[in-house]
Amino acid sequence: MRDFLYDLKRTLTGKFTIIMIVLVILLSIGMAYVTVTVSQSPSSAPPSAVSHVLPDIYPVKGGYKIVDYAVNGYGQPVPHLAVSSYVFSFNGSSSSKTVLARLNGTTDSSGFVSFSYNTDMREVNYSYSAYYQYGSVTVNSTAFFDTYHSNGKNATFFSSGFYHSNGGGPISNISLLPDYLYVIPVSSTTSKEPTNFLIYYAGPNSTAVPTMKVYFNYTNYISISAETNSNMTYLKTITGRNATIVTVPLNSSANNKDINVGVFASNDSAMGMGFIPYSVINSALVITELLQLPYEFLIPILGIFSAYFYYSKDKASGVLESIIVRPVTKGRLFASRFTAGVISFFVALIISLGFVDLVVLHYTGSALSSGSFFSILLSYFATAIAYSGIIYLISQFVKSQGAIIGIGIGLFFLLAIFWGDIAFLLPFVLRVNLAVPGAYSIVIALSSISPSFIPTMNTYLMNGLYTGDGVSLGSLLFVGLVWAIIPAVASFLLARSRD
Amino acid sequence: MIQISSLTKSYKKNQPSAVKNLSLDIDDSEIVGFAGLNGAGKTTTIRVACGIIFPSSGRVSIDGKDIVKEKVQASKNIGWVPELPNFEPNGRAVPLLKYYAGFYGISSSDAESRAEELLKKFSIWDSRKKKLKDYSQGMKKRFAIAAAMMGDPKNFLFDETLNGLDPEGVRDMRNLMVNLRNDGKAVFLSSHILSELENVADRIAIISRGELIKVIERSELSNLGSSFIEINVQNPDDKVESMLEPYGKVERSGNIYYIRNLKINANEGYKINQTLVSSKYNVISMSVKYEGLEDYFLNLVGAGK
Repeated sequence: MRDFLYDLKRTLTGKFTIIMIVLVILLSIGMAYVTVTVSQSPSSAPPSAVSHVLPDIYPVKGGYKIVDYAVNGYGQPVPHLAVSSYVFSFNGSSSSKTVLARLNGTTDSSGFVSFSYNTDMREVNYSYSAYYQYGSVTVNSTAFFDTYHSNGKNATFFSSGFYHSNGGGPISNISLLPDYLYVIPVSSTTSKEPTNFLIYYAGPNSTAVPTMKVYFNYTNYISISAETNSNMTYLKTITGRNATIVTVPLNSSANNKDINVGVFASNDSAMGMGFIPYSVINSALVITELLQLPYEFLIPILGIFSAYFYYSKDKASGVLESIIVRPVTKGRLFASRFTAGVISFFVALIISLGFVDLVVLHYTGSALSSGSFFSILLSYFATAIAYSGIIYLISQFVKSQGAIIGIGIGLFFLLAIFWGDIAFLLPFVLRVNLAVPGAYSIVIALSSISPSFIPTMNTYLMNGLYTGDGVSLGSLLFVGLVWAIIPAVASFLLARSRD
Repeated sequence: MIQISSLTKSYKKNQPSAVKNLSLDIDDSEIVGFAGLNGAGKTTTIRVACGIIFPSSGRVSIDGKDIVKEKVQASKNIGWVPELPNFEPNGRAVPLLKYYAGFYGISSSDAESRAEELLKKFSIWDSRKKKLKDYSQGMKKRFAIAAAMMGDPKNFLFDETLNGLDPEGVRDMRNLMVNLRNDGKAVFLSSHILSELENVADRIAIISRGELIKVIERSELSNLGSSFIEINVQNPDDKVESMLEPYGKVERSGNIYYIRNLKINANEGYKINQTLVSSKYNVISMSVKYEGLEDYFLNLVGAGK
């Protein structure tokens, strides 16, 4: 065994192994970083650099009073925010409006800026844009918000929704009932989960903040007008504060539902409601999807080329003979080279996946469970071993370096690139009706002919897909072990007994 | 000591065996030359003896260890120098020799000093930083010898090692083999250059079409094959040839007559001399000669037939 261990150690500490491991790690981290950051919104400013302006307009003697409250993505007040706004009236159609006054100002240290507009008109509309200097970057809050004020006493705001300035979709259907209440989901400074809501009572100037009872629940839909607190869970009572951030407790039942926060007066009448869709971040899914495309290429290439450089090239060129004449057997030389490849795959993959997990954790706040981590790791590990074993096997029959690498590349295209499509098309060619329950197992079985299917099968299993078509832990283990063991053992037996 | 017993090697079922039932011992302190035409089975025999390929049947043992069943123990005492050394092309001399040394259990520091000693001995120390692919064929061959000696084996197998060497290289190789023999090593040397085998070998094994057909002892080299008589006659005329015909087949080249296929014993050449002298011819010289190794070899293996 000393000869085996010696060659194993020497191969593992060789330049090629180190380069291969470093390359795989760097590529994986790079791909994870690019994929995660690209998947973020193009203007993914941190919440601290996002501004929302919450306008309030109400009639006063001789005109209107307008108070804008600016908050960032955490719901914290934004001081020194330039707000450019105007009051206008419609001239019969929404496309024709007359600007009545332009109002420009900057928020104070508490995030407020106020304007007065003197008029005897009974209806005005208000619109604004806000510019916020965040460090050296000017952040433009694009949350234009048209308001409509009527009846001279109570203002009603009409809006289809309140939108994130980063264009990420509606974050809340806000309701500014006559109580002038905003309920807006905001980011948490301590958690990636959407647990925080800003409750801002605008209210007419000098109006005392009423007692507000906050409730929450998780639902598949939202209906503001019909909502009562009868089917909601009490969270807390707010008294005497204009702006408060509440944190909603989340549990697994909230997954894939709307998190609703309702604010009710002391007599339980609805004052306002906000909501945010919530889905638990499945980092296993994120990572498998993130790795699927690049690893579809990288892992087979890793297996093929490591086998070629560790063994096939030396065997075909005759270099291996200069080693075989030493005190070492052919079998042990094969085993040391193959084991070195296997160990380097494992090291490269475990470090790569660890770093990818960290990258995903950084951006999503969710890390892989150890079970998911090792199932993903082992599925790619088995794939790399399988491709490596195939090349070792080919090397027992093919004596030319060029032919070996040519066959390797051919197999890469066949098994790694096209086999998935072939396995899907073959049943059509054979006129198999895949709509019949269980018929898809043919596709699964055909797909299993390629080692590249092992990670895909693992993904199916993790997501509970095709479980009725043969995807199970048992079948995954069977396919993985067959691919990892059979080519390797076959080539080992041939290597120790053939010239 | 290398013992080859009833060795047969077939590459393909439907083709003749490359080596058939070959038995040969190479003793310690002995150089055995291995002669044969191309494709005779020399390299196959050596590759089996080194454990590179497996025998179809028969056995090769190195110092009593079977090269197949006890490969690791047997290989510790084998030094193989191929005709065309093939090493890791991007490798460098010292690290590669140290790598090989590791298989023999030589420590890294001992391997380093041993590598330096051998590379200096074979005049490639100055090229140690070059990649092996940049070595000339002669340098590669010298490196191969250094690599073969790295584990200080007791048995050496040289496969056409003299091919492609310049005269100085041939001389150095000859001296190396003699020194190895003098150090008690067994040396098995295959070569096309029969004169070199004659120069260094204690025995010469001749192989033809995979079969060992003759082993010639060194003492036999001087009187190989059939004898003939060479006579130098002063001012010969046409009668001389007819006078010599009763003694064998006569060939004439100027004043020199060669009598082959002698009908008398070689030591009875004085009778020819008496015949010529009695007929008043002046015999300047007469000697009994034997075929050279090359003629003997070619006759033996039936080359060209």
